[in-house]
Amino acid sequence: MKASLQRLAERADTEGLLDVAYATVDSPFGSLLIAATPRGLVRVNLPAYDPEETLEELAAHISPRVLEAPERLDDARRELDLYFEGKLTEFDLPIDWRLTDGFRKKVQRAIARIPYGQTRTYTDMARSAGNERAVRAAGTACGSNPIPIVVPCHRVLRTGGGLGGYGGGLPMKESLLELERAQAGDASRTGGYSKRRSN
Amino acid sequence: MRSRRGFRAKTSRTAPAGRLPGVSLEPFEKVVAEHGPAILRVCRAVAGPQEAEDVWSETFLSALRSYEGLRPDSRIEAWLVTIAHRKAIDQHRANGRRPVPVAETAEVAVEDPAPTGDGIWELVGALPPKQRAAVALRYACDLPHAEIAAALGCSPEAARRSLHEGMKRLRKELA
Repeated sequence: MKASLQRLAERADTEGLLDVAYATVDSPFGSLLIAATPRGLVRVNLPAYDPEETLEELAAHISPRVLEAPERLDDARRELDLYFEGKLTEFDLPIDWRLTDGFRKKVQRAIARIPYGQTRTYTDMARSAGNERAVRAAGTACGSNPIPIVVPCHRVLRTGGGLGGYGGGLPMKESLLELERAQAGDASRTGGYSKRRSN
Repeated sequence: MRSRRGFRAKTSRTAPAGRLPGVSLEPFEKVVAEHGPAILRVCRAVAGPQEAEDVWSETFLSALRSYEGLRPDSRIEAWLVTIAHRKAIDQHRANGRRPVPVAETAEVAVEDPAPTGDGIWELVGALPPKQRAAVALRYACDLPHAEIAAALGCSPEAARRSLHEGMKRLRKELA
């Protein structure tokens, strides 16, 4: 049955019928469900949320043609593995932003540009998105980020250094920041490793 | 029901018009997980064990192709069975046109074990096509006569007759 399922996903992919491919990835925090459309990575589901519900949402908001197809997510899986090992500081994955829009999308795109090991405040994000006073909306945008970790909303803190919130739970946010601080510290001494050598 | 917290509640605002929460189709993966094993039994029965896997993937591929047009309240299993039956016939015709060469014939005496579990389906697989399909649809998929008739493209009366003949033959084989 397993081989048949895999063959089905492969054939669906070659025939252009695989609108949403998904896979699960182990992480130090539990299993992540990641999903991609032909355009790119569209969703990362943190362990705190029910993956079944997320699949239902993808079916409702994108297309019900949803199949498990880990091969289609090879790059994302590899980069996430390296990231959790502290060996990758910049994701180089095509992103499909279709689950977000408007001001939220502006904020989330700005979040995607925060460098590894650094943090910004919700106010910074509101300003980057073009409306310095919309701090609360910026917070909401962080909380509704469809692609956490890869779009690093964990790097956004309260003004004054408070942790703020995190969909995956505050301990996870702290651990991610800790991991990045340790690696970024190393990197400044040794040059570090980044998948993208320039820019 | 979907929860109303966090990311979920927010994305529902961006839902395309016409797709109400709760009436959308399930992720196709779930359809495969739920009905895959039963449909494989049907494929074994209507197409034989050798062709079953091919017919199975053709069935689900074809289902995936037209899945979006399906009404969410459709009887999915009956729909899949109809496709499986059609695919089995396609396969049968394709095989008829190009006979499969056999490398060597078995010369060892094969023991004929009492049919248990899936063994019964091998006997079903040996029935003539209409009877085989009728029995498979009735007992592997639990379809009523009317739906068997629709899947086979015949009258309910003819479907009942095929089922009856098939069962008579099976009973004789098992006696």
